[in-house]
Amino acid sequence: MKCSKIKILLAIALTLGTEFSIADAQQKTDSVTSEKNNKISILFGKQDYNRFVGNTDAVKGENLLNYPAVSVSEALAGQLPGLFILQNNGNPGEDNFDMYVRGASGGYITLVDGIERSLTSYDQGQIAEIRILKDAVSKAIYGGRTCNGIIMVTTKRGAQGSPKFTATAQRGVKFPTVLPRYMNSFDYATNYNKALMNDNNGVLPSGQGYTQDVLDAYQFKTSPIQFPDVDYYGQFLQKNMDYTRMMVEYSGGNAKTNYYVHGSYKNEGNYEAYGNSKTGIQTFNLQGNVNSQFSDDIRLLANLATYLVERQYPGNFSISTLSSRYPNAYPIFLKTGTDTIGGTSTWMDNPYGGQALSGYQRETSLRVQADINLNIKLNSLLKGLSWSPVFNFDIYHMQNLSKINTFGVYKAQSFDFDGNVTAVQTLRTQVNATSQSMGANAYTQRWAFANTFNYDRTFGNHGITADLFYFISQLSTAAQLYDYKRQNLGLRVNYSYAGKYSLEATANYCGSQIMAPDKRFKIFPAVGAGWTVSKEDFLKDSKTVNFLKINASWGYMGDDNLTPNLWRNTWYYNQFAPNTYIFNSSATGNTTNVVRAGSDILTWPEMREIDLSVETRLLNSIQLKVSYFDYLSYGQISQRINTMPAISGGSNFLPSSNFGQTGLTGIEAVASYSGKVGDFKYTIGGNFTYGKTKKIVIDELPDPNYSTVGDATDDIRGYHAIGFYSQADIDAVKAGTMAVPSFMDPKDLKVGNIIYQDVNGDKVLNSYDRVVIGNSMPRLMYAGNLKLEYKGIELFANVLGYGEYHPYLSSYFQNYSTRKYSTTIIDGLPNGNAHPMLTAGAGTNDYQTGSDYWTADASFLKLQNLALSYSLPKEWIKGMKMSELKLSLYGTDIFTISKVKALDPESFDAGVNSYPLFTTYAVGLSMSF
Amino acid sequence: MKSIRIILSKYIAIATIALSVISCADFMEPSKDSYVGSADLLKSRDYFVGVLYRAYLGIPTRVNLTYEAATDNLVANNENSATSKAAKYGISAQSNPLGDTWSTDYTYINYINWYIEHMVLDNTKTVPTPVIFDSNPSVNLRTFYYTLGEAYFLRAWYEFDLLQKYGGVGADDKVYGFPIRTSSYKETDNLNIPRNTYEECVAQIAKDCDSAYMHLPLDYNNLDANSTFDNGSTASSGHASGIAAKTLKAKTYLYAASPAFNTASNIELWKRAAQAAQTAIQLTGGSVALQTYANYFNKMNLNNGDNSNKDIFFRGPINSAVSTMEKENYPPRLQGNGTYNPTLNLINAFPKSDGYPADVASTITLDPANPHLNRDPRLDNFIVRNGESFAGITIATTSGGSDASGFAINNTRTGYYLQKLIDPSVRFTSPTVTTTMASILLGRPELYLSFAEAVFMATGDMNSTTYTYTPKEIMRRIRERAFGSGPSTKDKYYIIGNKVDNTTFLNFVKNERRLELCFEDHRFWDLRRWCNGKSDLTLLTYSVYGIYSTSALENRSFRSPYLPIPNGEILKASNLINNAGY
Repeated sequence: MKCSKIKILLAIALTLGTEFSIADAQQKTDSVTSEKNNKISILFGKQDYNRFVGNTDAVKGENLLNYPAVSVSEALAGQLPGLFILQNNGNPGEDNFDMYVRGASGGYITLVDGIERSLTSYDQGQIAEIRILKDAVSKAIYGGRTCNGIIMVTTKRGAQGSPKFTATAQRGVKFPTVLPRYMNSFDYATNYNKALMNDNNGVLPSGQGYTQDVLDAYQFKTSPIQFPDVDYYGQFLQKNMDYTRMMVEYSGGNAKTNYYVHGSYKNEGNYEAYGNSKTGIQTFNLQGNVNSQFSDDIRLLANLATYLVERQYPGNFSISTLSSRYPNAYPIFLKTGTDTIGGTSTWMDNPYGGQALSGYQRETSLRVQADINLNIKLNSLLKGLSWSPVFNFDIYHMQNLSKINTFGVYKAQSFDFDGNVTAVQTLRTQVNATSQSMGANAYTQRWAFANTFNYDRTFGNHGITADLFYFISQLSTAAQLYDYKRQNLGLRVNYSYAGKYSLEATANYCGSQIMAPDKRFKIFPAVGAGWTVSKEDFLKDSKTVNFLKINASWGYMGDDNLTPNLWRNTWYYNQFAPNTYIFNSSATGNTTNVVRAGSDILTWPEMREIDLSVETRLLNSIQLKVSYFDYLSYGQISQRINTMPAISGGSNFLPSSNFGQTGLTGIEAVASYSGKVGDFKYTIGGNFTYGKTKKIVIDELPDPNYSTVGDATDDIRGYHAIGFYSQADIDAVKAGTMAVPSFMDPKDLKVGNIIYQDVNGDKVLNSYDRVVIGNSMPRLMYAGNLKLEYKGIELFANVLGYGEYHPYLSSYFQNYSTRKYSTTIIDGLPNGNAHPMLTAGAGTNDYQTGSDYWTADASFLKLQNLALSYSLPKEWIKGMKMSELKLSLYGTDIFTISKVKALDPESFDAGVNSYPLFTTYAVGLSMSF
Repeated sequence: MKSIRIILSKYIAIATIALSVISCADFMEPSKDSYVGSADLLKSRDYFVGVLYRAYLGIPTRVNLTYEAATDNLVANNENSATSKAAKYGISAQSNPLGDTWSTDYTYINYINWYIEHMVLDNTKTVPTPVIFDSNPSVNLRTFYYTLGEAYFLRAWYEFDLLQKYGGVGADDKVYGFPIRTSSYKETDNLNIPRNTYEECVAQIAKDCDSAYMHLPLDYNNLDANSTFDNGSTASSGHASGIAAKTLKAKTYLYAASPAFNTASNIELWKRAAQAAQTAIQLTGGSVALQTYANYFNKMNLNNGDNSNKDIFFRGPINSAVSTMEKENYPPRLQGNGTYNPTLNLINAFPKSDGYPADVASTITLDPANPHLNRDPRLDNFIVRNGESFAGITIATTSGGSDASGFAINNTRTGYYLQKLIDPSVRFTSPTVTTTMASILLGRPELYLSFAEAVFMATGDMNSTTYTYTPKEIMRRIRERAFGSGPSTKDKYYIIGNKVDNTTFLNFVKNERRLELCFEDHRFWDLRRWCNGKSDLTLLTYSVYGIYSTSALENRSFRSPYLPIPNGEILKASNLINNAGY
């Protein structure tokens, strides 16, 4: 079948190579490619940068070391042009980021040492380089995985030289960047009364709301148990939490053998105020590799990286409790100094109980990643030919062990005159778990085998590099009873002439089990060209332009990162209500339903990519690269529920088909300027990315009156707010002379409610009047960095900004119905709008109808990283046999400039439903021997 | 040279070994997983029959009052409810507040088509039997053969649902049904297909009913010796039967003959309807007395197999230990929601206790203050009214009464509560009592009424002997159940008085149909099929009243006698044309 084709192709390639080599071996010409100084790593190999035709950027591992964080991704934010990284929350050890390359559609894949692996597992110290490959030619060879970018991580290896031992310790504290602010009991009760009055024509409905006596009690805090006023954030979170990172490294080697050993430990956590199972994480990394030159022709690399993480957290506590419970809901303690904790019959989630009395959860995960890599020179066969087989094997296992208690909750039934509790009702008694139980667990294993034949030779002005790949991998998980299997056969040929012109073509014959048997293999081609203009005669001797290169590439990739089994008819046999039919009391019919209709014609979704870049170095100090990109993904999988008539049988019977199309276009720029005045060295750099997506073909009702084709994929549609109803307006609505809202009964409209624009002028406000009111993902990213060095003193600063970002304001800003009131009621919204009229009701018109009243410019600029270090002069430490002793001060996420001030614009979730984002201040000490 | 060859062969050997470790073809086959594919279905009778039973899930579990509440029989308590909006000119192609079943009907039809396509019969046997898939099935062969009949019946059922809801006259004055689908969807199918004509759809339904009849036992009481259904046991009840198929066919022909769809006034269509109804009556034991209301609606009888309730030909699934209908319609004083309230219009349609219509003078004169007194006994059977003892309380709906409008939230708007289909033994206070719920979907009373209407329309004579039974004789069965039979009957108007003649007979039948089948999801559709073509909205323009005010509770109007095909479907398939008025 298809596989035999691969074998035949391989055999032909080998045979051709063989014959060519025999003929060639007799020639005595010998000029193996030189210029080793300017080589960059590409997929499955290295390439002379002059001959590179694609678009790539890289960051050295050492630049990440200035950022004290448990997660490498956090340190990576802003370091690579095109790579958007937004942190969703500060939960210790929860590597939760929105990451995308160049634009909000597409995606990325992360490779560590050539195989798909999560970056989560790594310590900053292990990383030699993180490179992002963005164009079709340089990505093509990885296989049928369309993505806007491949994040290629290379871990450290030993190098020839005397043994070097480095030890680093960092210790810091983390403060929340912003915490949400909620009203105290008095303000809450006062505003709740307002809300009730708004709903009832300005009169407080009898029996509802708060009386003046109660308001007074809240205001003067006369009896805090009877009339509680709980500051949840102040009471249940500490001011800060701890961070520690320690690392040792040992590396060295001789001409034949190099070695590298890494060990590191990190922890952070203890942010909660109470209890002995506070949220925290500890990670241990251990990596070792050895690089050995077996013989002149054979080199072997063996690498083993392991990662152990222990996370713990309270049995049953969530930050969202703090953001949802009213300050006056219940007293935390019914009696001072006891654990008789308060609650109500609906709210039995007193955070003290959650933090201190609910037991613990402990999650352990382990990753083991092993690589064996051989490099065999076959010069004896054919000058310039080499062969590299690589075998990788990864295991991941996670388990959650817990002992979760149900904590007792009590309610005061009566109070004495001073407001002390005289009778207590038990709502729930404390029940402690008697044994530890196993919760969530996961297991993943992956193996991969890559076989590369590389031919690299120069004949006079002609340079030829050719790579033939064979790649096979299998990923198995415990949860899904489905294996992901892939095979690729790829050919990459690069030709260069006189170091000026280069041409590269790749063809990848990709195979994936995810497709139907006759669609499993497909060829995806890519071509690119590069022109090193600065090597032309007219620029060769220029003092201004030291380097100028233009690259262009074009190619196709396929996507096999799909739901398994899409091509197969899949059914499910139901034996339980409501999916059974009860014919009568003694006969029930079990039913079989379609899970997925199979398809005979479903094939690979594809992406066409164009990338153009111009790179230059001017006056030996200014580096500049400008790129343009254009991606078109098409044949995206869709069931076409909205475009296919329902007579098909609908979602049960419509198979997945290749349908959707999305575009992404944008520009990117990177610049840096470096110089030197005496002992003072400086570098200023920056990068800029703008990418906008576009829906071209989508599964949307083909309605001539309303279409979102042409919108960006992250565009938010809603109504356009144009004012507030007056009584005259409401009368006009009722008379039909002003647009009538379809989403609510016009008779429930109130003076002061928001008016929306009747865009199509049909006197009805309905979904046809929705326009683009914002977008949910930043389209613009810019970062700037500064590095100053003077006699061992080094200052590093990094600012990071995101723009073209108008998200929908989260529930924190929308105080209505039964929500806890935040101070945005007073402060207003980040877009300058006042908080709308309060209501205790459903808030259909103002709150639940999506409109631009609630979208805001949430662009922001952060001082992302600041590091100041001092390396003691070498003479001072010589006596201690040290080669370096460095003291450092670090800061991260130090301040933010944004119109959004009430929450961190990077994540509206942080602090409200999860841990806030943190500003870290740390000190560090690093010693090398 | 020699050394090169040695090295060469060494490396080729290594390469070959490295590659042949993995056998590629096998490698790309899916690993073992929990997947159930079509081939697996065909190996297991249980799995396979499950596909058919899936299509049963669309059979209503309860009688649908949504449509009824948009008629002159019923109003929704909440004046902002979808049904009230619909009845106030609120139905459009963009939005039908009554809901659409277009998509779900076709989903079930696809399941059925798949089932019929994959049912493999062994035609070498004298009676074709299905090919056995597995050796140890829990579904036996005989049942398995019947399932083919059930499949045809269910397809006819959903096709009729489409015809009833979406059939109508298009802007081009042609009468359309729906696009007929008799094969399951293949991805190469062209889905932009026009609606079939109404008559083509009727023919398709009739054909499916006949196929169902061929493959099914008439009912589950008289099976042959090879049957594995126990005669009359509960094991069989609830499945589609031959009687159900014939009744559905008669109903379809009745609709086809009705003026809204029979725009050419073709009398042959009435004859066809009469003939089909006659056939069904003959098959079900001829003209026999109807069961008492107590028996017919007894929830517990529903569960006991068809033989305990021979008047029910097809019903929905059994829901035990529920109180859905009661929670919905009990007066709020009994912890119900009083959701649907019978109108004064309906009360006025009930005859007096001597059988005379309320507006025809007789020895009985009605008290305008208590219009529900001295009425047809059906009124107390179907409707909860003031002064009635119901579910342990005495109902007080006159103004100021504890069950009257305004006294408590959700109290009746009209002065009446729903009683038919409600089990008054249900209690929501401790000790709570629940009941069994199932919807009666095809029954003998409906068949009798359809027969009388069709024969009269075909012959113009209530005493016509063209058919085995005369319309008059059949209508007598209906009246006898209400007023009693023989010399002791209280019906001095029809049974004894013979006051109905050929000029009044049709309205008499229509009124009886309204009363007998009220709250069983007939009125909405009957009013529509009686419309005279696309521009006759007389029957659909009316006001509904209650007892608390002489002014109308709601003034109702509709765009068209037909319902719209959802706009989205029209946009997706340009060959579909919508009904007149949309």
